Amino acid sequence: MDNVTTASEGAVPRQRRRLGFDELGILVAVVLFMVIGSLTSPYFLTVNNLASVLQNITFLGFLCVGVGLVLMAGEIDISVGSIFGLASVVTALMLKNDFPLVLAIGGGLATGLICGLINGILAQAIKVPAVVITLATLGVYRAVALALANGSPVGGLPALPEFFDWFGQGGIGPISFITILFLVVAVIAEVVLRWTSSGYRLLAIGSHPHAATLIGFRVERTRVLVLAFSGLVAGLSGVCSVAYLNTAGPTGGTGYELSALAATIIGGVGLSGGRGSIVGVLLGLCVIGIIQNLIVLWGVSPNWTQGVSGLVLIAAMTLTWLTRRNEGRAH
Amino acid sequence: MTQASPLLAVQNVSKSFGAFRALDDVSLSIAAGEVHGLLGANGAGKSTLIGVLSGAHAPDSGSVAVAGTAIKGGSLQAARKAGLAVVHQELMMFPDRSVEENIFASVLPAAPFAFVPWKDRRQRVEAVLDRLGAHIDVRRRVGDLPLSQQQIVEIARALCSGGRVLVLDEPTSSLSQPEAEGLFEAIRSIVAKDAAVIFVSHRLDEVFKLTDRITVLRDGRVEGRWATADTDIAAVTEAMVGQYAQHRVNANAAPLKAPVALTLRGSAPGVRDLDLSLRQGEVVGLAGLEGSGVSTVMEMLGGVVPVDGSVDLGGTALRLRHPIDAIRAGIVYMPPDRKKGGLWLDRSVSDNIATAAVGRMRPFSWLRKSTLDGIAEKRLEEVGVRTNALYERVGRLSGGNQQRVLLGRNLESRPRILLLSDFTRGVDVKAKAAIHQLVRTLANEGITVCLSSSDLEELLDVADRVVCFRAGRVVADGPSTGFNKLSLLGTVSGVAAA
Repeated sequence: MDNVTTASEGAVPRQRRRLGFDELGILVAVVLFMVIGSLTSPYFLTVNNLASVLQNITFLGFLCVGVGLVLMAGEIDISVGSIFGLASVVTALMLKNDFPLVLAIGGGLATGLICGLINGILAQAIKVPAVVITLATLGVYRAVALALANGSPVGGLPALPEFFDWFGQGGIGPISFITILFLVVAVIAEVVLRWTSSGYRLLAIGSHPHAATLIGFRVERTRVLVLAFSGLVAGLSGVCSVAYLNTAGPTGGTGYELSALAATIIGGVGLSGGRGSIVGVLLGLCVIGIIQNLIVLWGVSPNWTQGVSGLVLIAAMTLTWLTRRNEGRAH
Repeated sequence: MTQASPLLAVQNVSKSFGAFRALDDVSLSIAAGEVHGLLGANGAGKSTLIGVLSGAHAPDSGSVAVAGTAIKGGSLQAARKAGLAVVHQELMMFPDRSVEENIFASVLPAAPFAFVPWKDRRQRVEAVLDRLGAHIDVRRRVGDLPLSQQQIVEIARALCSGGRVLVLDEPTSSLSQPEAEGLFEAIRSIVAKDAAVIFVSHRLDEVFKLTDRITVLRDGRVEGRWATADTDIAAVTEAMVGQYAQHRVNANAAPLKAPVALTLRGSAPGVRDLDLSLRQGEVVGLAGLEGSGVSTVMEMLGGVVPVDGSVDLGGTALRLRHPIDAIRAGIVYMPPDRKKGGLWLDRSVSDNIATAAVGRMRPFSWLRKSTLDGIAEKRLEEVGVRTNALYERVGRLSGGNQQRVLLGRNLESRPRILLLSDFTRGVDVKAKAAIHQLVRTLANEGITVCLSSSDLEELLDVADRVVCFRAGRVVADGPSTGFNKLSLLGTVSGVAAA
């Protein structure tokens, strides 16, 4: 068989595939914000402050892992804030009504999983983009949480089981057990995404669903599963929040969907699917966490918390557009 | 012929795309009242000529004039203003709007917010439809009309915008016989009123029925022109096909006695009562024009389009609901459009080929990059692409090499039956010959290959057997040596071979 390869193709040197250095730019952004923080506030670079930043982004972080994977599969999940709230209310109510701890935790997780499954199955069954379905369930799940909790926080829980209390309040040094659990989840997600057949298929489906179908990948099934996973980790986050706060607010997690979307997109996960990594998502999460911390340290009115996420999202998408445009010119 | 002052005069038009000369010194003159047939095989330059007429392409040299007025090249507005209107194969209408609104969309007043009295508008629309001899309720939603009437609405729109020279590109490809007859009447009543129509079609019988004169393009040049009454199908077909150098790779093909590998009996939208058998190690060419159902048959076999009927693979009944069902049974479908349907253009060659291997794995299986690269490398060698292209982005390869990568990936799915839909689209001549050779090699290894091509003659070079389709039905089936390029084109276009 003769080789029909044109000169220009043959001239390209054999290269190793680049693994994950697209995240370098985001790392630079994180460092930049840390420098800005340390220059503008003497309190910023203290162990206490950094630990609180870490703690604050942990609950959002679980959601980001799910939202990121959903985006990579070519869908968008904006119901995670409500799932977080609903799962925490379910767990708190079960504890309040003297259910065993295992059941209460299981109840919260199952709530998240079922909510996610509903999102996925609805979106694939009636062939609507998940963004529309999850916009609808964002409202529905929140309403269910409010109804269950009768509109007010579920507090006054009986003495929490020892393990739950230890897990929710303790930690290793300045890093809480909840944060460690989150990092474990993130690492597992990254390993699956990068080095297993399932992650490979997820990205392939996200970037070209039609080609993926023809090669024999189950596009619909994968998307249902990834939306279910997103619900599950949102539920896990809700359960952890009960352990941490000893209470559950039915409005908890409001606005998390916006922050999670901002973090994942600034972390290099494309809106059109098929691109990104969990490392990138974590770095994007750090950017959001540091900015939110800084506006507190700077004494900006807390009214701006949500607005900042929105502005970061706009900035992230503008940056993506600019780099894409320049790539286009380079060729 | 009335040569005095042609309504449309195309003079010495040439147009190149890069090194490829799509039109070479083409002249065409059409009188008012004339229906002119424009013919040519795929790649002959018809589409480019239509593009020049519509103003989509600016010619490199030469001129186009309507009624003596030259048109500035490369401007859609200038062409339309001069009265040139192209009705494309795919209709471009607003399906949710009424007939009246659709027709009128083309003549909305230029000034924003200008007021159009609705009575005036309805009268104008009805006048145009009358001229076409069509009885269509102008208040109906266009999407609810049958295709034939939509076609007429589209033509009415072109007329209403002041078109005097109408170019109809394959207007009958989706119409039934009686519907086409209705369209012909409409065309005749258009030209009766000081207008001209250029009728572009593959269907020779229709061209002979309808047109006054015929022009044949081949390789970008005018190969022949006749008054329709003075010529016959044989002469026209010969001009279209020309001296075709045959490089048969199947020259020694004896009738196959191998066992039947696959039988498909059933229907799908656009394909009726199919009964198709493929033998092991056989190369079967499915021949048909656009709309003949060939591409659907490929999709039925590949599990992309559900089959209303039965598929039998070596004695086992298959239910193909998803491509994965076909792949698991060893039937691998290669889509015609490698960009839209096949490849991840922004991914590396290695990634693209490895998808097939990953498709076989269980969920959460560990991936070893070296294993995947090894798999890809092996397949690249098999299809004859240099392995130093392994980490190249597929989008940067030539069309021929992209097609090979796609083929390599499908081989990685370990097919027993390989379905290649329009398998050499956009591939140059040299690469084509190499791909033909590759197909033959695969067949000799016992893989059954079923292929289709928009370049019909090519099938005669590669296939052992040719199955001809027309309007969703098999019209002929026999060894490829029993066909020649003329009889094949004649069979699929519905005229008896001369």
